[in-house]
Amino acid sequence: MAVLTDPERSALFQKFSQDLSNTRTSIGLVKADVRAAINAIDDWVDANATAFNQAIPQPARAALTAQQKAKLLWFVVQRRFEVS
Amino acid sequence: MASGDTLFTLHPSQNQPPTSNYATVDTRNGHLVLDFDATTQETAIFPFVMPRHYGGGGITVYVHYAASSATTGTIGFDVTFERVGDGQQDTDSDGFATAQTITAATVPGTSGNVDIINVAITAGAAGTDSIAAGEYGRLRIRRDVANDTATGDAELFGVEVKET
Repeated sequence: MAVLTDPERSALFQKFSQDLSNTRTSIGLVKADVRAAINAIDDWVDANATAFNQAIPQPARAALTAQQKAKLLWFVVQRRFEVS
Repeated sequence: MASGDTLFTLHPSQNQPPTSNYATVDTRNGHLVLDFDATTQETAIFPFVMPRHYGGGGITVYVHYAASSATTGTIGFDVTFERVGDGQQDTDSDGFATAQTITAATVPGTSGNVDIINVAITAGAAGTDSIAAGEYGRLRIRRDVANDTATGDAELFGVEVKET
């Protein structure tokens, strides 16, 4: 899977920005800085996709779809950082 | 009353939103506010009748806003008038004058603090849409998302319209 498109990354920024606003969580970064972080994270995910997949043992690696693996990663990260 | 005097004030409760990309109603510690998104340009529109004491001169619009979450960066808006008047505007369509930019200003270091920014608009077709005393009109406010930099929503608390 390729990196997210610019509109997709923009939509992510919008989602993150709205989440900050809804919770009134203070942030000391301008739009460009947050956007740069999103771009870098997406680039990192893309660059490490193969390593992530290899980290999953068999038979799960073969049996799970890419979407299921991504969801598991999301669940693990969410729990580790207690992000709602 | 004349130059330097307040003509009228506007509150979020008076907003008549457009059908799309409208600023959304919110509350902040009981204050009714209008939230303007950081990336999609959103709009608020306020109806008014120009007071009889308006002398026909330039108009300064003051926007009272706070950042929902940002403690750095800038927030700006653009404002413009639409003269409806007596047979001046077919209300089945919009007729706003040229948008006047309120230069993006650095947000307060505390997100709950309100900042007041303004633009002085020259009287005439391009600025105030030549609205006159006693005439019904509308004021449109949009966030200048293309040029401001603050992350998160801008919250509009109120507007003051003053004869410059």
